[in-house]
Amino acid sequence: MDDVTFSAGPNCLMGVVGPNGAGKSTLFNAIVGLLKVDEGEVLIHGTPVDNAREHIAYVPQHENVNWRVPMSVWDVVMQGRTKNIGWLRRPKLADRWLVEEALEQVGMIDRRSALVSNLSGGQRQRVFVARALAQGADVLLLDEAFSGVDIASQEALVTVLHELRDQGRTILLSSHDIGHVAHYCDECLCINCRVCACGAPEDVLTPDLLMEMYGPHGVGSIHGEALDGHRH
Amino acid sequence: MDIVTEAILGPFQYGFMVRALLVSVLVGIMCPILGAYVVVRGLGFMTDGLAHSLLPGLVVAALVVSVISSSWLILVPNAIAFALIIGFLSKRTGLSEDTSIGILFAGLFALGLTLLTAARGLNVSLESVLLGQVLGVSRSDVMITAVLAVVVIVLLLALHKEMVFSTFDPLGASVMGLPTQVLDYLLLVLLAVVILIALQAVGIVLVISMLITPAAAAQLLTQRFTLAMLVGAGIGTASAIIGLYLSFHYNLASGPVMALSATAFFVVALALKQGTARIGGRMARSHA
Repeated sequence: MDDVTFSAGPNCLMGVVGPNGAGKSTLFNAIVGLLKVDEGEVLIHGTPVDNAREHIAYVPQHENVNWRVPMSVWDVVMQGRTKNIGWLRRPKLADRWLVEEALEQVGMIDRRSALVSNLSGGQRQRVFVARALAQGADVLLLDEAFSGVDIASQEALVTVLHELRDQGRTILLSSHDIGHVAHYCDECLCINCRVCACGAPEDVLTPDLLMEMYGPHGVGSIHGEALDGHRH
Repeated sequence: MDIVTEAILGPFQYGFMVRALLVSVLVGIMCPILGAYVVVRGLGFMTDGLAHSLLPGLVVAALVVSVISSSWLILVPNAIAFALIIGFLSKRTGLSEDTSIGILFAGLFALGLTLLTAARGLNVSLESVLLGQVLGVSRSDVMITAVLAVVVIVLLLALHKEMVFSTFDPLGASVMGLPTQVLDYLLLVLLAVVILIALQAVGIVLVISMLITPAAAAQLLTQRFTLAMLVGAGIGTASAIIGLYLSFHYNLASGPVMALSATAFFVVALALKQGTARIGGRMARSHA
């Protein structure tokens, strides 16, 4: 990726869209510091990401999680406390409270004993969001947030994300589905190996831009879908 | 003494059987705890490769044991070194992971076999190296096995939540700032140490059975990773003790009998799991 400059403030739900191979995961990996950038810098609250790890949390793509490990919802959310608990130590009462609060916020407290691998795609995403909340992160990144998530679960997930945004958090979610982003997000970052546009979905998702990103074949269907999404 | 008491306690009037029991129980506990990670991380082939690659070290240690005070002084560093090398190769060569490991382990195993046949008058038989010789362990072997087991257990307990996190969601753990690569290598090092301990009981060829079979059986029976480790340790210990008894009373090689016991436990666990799934399915249908 080349020439990537953008910023996302508080109270912002930003959708990152682009065709397959556009670099959505690469961008996210660079933001969270898993990939070193060749030039330039990534700042979280004005500090390099390595010094701001407690502020940032990552909701992984489905295939990046080892589902063979049998984990309860509670245990996964408690992972968010790992750094605060510290090496060699066990969770304290305060950690349990934070986990409980996070689970309540995403509406998963009743499923706290369930195995995460037995949940639906949308419920899993909410559990990982709860883990980010338990960590105390105010910048959340969701990679392919809606893949494998059915419509009803999508609504529940988006409701949670909107609540978190309204509380002042910054949320970046990537999706290959422009319709979702146009529908749910406040801002839209369009990438295709570079930043093509960044702004409110209704301003940036123009036929010209879709042409640039997806080529002539994609424009008709995607533009219709994007506008449909936005009208909902 | 009645017959049953005689059958249970009789073997332990011999010192070698007491030592064998102690080592077997430690192997039975340690292998499935590490094995839980091996199963969920899909490290079976790597583990088998690591066990085979220790053969040259075993032969060299046997050759120079008269010069140094204990063969463990060579065995432990050798195992740790190969754990790190295998871990490095699996991540860094352009070849696929199983190809790199296959090349390394076959080469080293062949080197070990060649050394073993070339070194005449060596006090180590191929059979005992391949299949284990738990009845031949010395007092100092028991002591060192216990110390190594305690070190491994303490490290695993201390790093449990970090190790489980990086096994379940390596990316999320890295983003949080956990040193996931270091944890990966540490896991391999602990695995190598446990393989070394287990070699005494079940030998190079069957180490894999004690590492993955009880752990896999436990994961069929439980729905929590930590609980699976404990249940696995129970199954591993039972397999080791049953194996030891059968080998004493029926004059069989102890390693293979331990491995067979573990396999039997796995079959029972599988049957139980299938049975409960079927009953659950029937109940769900009758409610519907």
